[in-house]
Amino acid sequence: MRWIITEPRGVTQALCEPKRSGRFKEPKPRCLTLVYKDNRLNQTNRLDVYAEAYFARLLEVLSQDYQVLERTMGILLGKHAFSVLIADYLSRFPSQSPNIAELGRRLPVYLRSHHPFGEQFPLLSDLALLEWASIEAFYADDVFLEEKIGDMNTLAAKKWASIRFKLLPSVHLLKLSWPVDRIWKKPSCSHELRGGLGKESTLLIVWRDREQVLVERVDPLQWKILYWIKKGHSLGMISKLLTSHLRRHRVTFDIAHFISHWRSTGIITH
Amino acid sequence: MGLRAPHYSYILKHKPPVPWFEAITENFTGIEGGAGGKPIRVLEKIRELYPVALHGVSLSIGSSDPLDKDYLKKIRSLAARIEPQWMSDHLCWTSVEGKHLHDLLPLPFTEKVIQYLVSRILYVQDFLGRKILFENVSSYMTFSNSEMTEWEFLSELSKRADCGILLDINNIYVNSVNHGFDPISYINGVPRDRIGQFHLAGHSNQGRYLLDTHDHPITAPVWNLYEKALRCFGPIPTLIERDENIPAFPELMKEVHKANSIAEKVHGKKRISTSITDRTPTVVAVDHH
Ligand SMILES: [Fe+2]
Repeated sequence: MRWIITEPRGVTQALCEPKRSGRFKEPKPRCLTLVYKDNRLNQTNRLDVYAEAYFARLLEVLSQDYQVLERTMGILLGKHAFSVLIADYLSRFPSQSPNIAELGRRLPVYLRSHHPFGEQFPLLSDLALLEWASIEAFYADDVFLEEKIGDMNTLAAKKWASIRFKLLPSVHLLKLSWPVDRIWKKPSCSHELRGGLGKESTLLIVWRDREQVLVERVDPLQWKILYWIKKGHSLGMISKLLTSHLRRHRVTFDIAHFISHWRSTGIITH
Repeated sequence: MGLRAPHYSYILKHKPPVPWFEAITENFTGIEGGAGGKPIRVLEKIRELYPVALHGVSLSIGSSDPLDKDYLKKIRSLAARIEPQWMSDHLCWTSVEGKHLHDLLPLPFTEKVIQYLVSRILYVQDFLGRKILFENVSSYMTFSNSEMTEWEFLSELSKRADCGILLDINNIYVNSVNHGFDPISYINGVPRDRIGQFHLAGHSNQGRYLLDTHDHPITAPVWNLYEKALRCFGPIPTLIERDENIPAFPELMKEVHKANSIAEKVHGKKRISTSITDRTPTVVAVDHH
């Protein structure tokens, strides 16, 4: 019965087009005979109530999670494009979690690798990645760690080098190919999409400050430092990596500058 | 009152005189890699001010899949953190072969299903260390192999599994129209001592059937049935569910007052209680599935 009531296009459609997909193996589903028959509604109509509710509910959840994606797809691909995408997504990736909030987890990957809309407009999967990162930031654990290191300027060099910071659990580092943060921050900018949004390497951090999810652009140097902090490297190791990878000198100054900024915004803790 | 995101700030700011809230369990269990974030912070703040009941939608007690131990652990630790007055879920299945439909799907009313459910409910109650209330769901189909009525099924199951019943009055009415039975027989047919909570809600008329949409005010036949249920079961804590077209908090209070006035008409003014064992009048709220 699952395949018939989870068909996003509805039970009637599934019965009319039994060969549309590999899932439709039963020409006349046995489950119909299990449904009690009376003259109020026929068996197909009764199952259809569930099929429609299934798709409507999940579409509503995903349209809340991916509001900017839906609006952007409407502009680029037409009014029903998002529904078509979600119908295809649910056929490929039905929910596997008791928590409906998990439903959209694989949509960015699905758009990028499995759906023609993603191929046609590659910025869509970047936008989906950003929206999912903001959902993860929303649900991320809080940490309330005591800052013990005080003013870093007064620390001896050896002690400084051994310090390891941690990113807040809500922090996500995104490396994208399209400047989708502009659409995310200013949804009205979606209209500019018609004129074409140029490809542009975009490095973002996404995190939650108390109850608000924030998105900020960072330059490649900052992004690298945050990435190494996330990997658990000490400041000494980060400064070595920066010197050798980026051939930068006097990196301790850069690091100290960024660390002090991130400590003040609260995205790193000790 | 049920907890609905648009009302969080109103509740925390105005601290309205509501005796308890019902929170949807799964909204506060977090997602993979995050134990709850903003939602759990809000729930904890509200819990400091009010008693809370946890109402689940994904236990899937009637599924042919094994019980999901990870899910059970999550709701057990949420319960340890929130200390709810009671916990409830639905008498239905919501998943099969590891796939979740996020809908409350009906079960065949047979002896075999009762036996199957009894062992699962006993396990869950043992795992969570508490009795659970199970809610009757609205439905649009029944099974041709059912051997008894829905209320006979619910009664027998609750006795054998030693669980409570969350009786949804609107669901009884919706099913009575969709399947053609007398809703009073349902009310008279379930055991008095098992009922721990009522739900009230609005539905929409689709012409040939009623749809349990929770997007309208409660209809007259459901209010009438509620009054009959109060007479039959005594003053049971009651919650109004509204999931769509959610009005402002003070607007919802009008339905709360209406429910309270019906309860007062039936049972007189009594102390408002939050305890499931006290079974004193009516506390009404909005909730979302
Ligand atoms: Fe209900």
